[in-house]
Amino acid sequence: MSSTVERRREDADQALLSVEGLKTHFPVNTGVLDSIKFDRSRDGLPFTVDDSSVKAVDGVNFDLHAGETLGVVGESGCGKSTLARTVVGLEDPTDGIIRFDGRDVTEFDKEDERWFRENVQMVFQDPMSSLNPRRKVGEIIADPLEAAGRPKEERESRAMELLEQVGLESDYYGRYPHEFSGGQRQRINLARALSINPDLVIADEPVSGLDMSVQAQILSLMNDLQDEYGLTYLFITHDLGVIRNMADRVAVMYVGDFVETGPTEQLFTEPHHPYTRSLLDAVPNPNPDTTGVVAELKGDVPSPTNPPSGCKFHTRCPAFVLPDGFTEEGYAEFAEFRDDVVARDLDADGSPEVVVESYFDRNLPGDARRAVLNAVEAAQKGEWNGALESLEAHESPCDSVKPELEQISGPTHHSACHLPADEREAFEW
Amino acid sequence: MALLEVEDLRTYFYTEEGIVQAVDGVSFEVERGETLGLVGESGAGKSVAVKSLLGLIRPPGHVVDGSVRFKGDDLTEYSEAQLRNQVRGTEISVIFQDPMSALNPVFTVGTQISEIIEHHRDVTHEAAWSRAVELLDDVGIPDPAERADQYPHEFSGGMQQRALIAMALSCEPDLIIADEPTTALDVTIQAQILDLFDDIKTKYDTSMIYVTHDLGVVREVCDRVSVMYLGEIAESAPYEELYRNPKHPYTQALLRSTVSADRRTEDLDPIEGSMPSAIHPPSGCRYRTRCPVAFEDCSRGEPPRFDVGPDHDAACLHYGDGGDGDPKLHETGRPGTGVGGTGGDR
Repeated sequence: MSSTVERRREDADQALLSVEGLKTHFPVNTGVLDSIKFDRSRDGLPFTVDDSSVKAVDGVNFDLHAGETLGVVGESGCGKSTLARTVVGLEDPTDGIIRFDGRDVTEFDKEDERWFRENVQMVFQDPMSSLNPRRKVGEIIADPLEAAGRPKEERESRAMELLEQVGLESDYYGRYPHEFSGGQRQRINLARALSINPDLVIADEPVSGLDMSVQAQILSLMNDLQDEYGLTYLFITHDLGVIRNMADRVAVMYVGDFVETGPTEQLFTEPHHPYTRSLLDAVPNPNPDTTGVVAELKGDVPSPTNPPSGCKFHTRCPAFVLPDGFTEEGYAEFAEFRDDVVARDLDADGSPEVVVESYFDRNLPGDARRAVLNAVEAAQKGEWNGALESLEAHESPCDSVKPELEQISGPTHHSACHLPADEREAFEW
Repeated sequence: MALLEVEDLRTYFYTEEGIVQAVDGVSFEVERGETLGLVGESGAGKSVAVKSLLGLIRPPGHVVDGSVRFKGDDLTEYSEAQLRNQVRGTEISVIFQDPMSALNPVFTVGTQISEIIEHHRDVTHEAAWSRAVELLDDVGIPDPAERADQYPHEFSGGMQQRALIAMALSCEPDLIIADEPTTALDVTIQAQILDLFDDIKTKYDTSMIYVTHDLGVVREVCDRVSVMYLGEIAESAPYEELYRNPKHPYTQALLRSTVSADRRTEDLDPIEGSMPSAIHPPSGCRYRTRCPVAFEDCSRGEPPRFDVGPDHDAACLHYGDGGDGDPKLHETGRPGTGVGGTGGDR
């Protein structure tokens, strides 16, 4: 049907989908008037412009090769659905490049766009709300074909064929969505996605609302269809069990970033990033021989509008790297002081010693104390940058430097964490 | 005597399409200090069963038969007022799945908790309020005094669920019924809540009925488990026994089809078909239409629950007089059953 399949075979190294530096930000306030806030404290006009944004996807890179399944896993609010929607074109990226079959999707003309839409299909989480209740399922399944301008006879026969392929019956063609159970509706969604022979199927939590036994049915159907049609899946889910059973490679997402990527088995047995480890620790496992649930993470996912500095996970990280000589509590006080320096607003007046006393209840290591005293002096002279500089040497890398994805073991296992690459214990299931 | 003894409970819904036999002859017991898991797929009747215990079934539904003996008294004979004033909230309390719809958005969390205490106990408003703050502290909400003054929407999902748990604990009930309390939460938050259940069970010495579809969660919180299928209990056993020696073909299939994070199952082995309607359920054993080892007798009369092991029963004719005592379903080799099946299998 499309020549892409043949073209790809000639050029096997080229990724089917390649995403570079992808960012999708949503403005908190929509429109110019909405973003203007009254602010009496300002000199001149008493208004400020609030241009903050929700950084749902904040610089994501990945390649997806033909026939492969990439699983993206993370907690709710980590940006995984926005990532899927951006790739398929339902959201506009703020920055970055999406290449499909080697070509930048933003440079597509009308013809290319049609071709892209025929080759990339999406399956949504809620099988009921993604099916129009007033239309027959056969017509729903044939929709992509209709959009592509195929004749009616072809559409009908293809829809019937697909109904059988996804484990339903061809005489269900004339029934309506409400006549089907949740699992059957998800089969219909799959049939619709496949009707036009796409290369890439993006599945956003396709089995989340389903019962265990139905989940297994849909997953095994998706596996069979992949084998049969050579499909490529981008599989978005929060369920680590589903990921392990479906994905060839996994990307763990946290507040808009990929924090660890790697081959599924490696990631599940030798995870590096503390977030990945904590997620695996939290999964309840039916097998009584495995380690039980450990609630390692405290608190909730931070807001993507104002993500934490440095490594976004540092606020919940069980492996936070403390600088030499600091206790956990002592460093918390240090961080609070530094935040005030960054905000250019110290909470106390008086001599540097008095200010330091007011910030720190606990003993600072000697040289850190000197640095803090210097910083207070500089700050009181208005030299805020100097103040920050003198603190730098005592900061933890975790809350000051954003870690990049770096190779851990093997060429495809990457983790964005300041811990050394060889600090990687086997995971005890 | 067990704390709760449910016998032959039947709850039917009289709809225009016919009589939905949502719960049809369910019996179970909960001992003091014990947590019983009710497991099954949607439509199995788990939620209807626990709602029936508390008289929360509304028309067209009715509890048509059976008894619910709590500390010896039959709750099915209680009036609505008696249930409201003497049972719900004080003796037995419930935690539902969706915390946002279980909390009233226009009252502060503290008000909602202290209200329950004032309703059931003879205390001043101030005493009830300070008890509410104490409870919020017990369920791990930071700055409980400030949080008590906030509205539900100011709480995150995990915090809302904690507040609901505080509410359920407010009159120190003997039994807590938790209906899928962590299903809507992320795994990391779920892990925190499961930890919390462990703590409060010890601290408040309560028994629990935990309704869930997730066997991993059952393993974490339940001592015993009853597997439900289409309004009936298929199998009951202590959890480990059930996992290692599942006897009912449905339990076996359910365990085989569960995807789990500790291993990759190369060939997923789903249960074929879907659960039939509870309006005209299959005669005899309700699972027989999907059961790979069903034989002739299965369509004749409900299978009784046969003893199949220590504290372990299964409602399957294979274990009766005419059966072979062992529906051989293990050939696919589910890891985890038998020797050497540790979590390391991949």
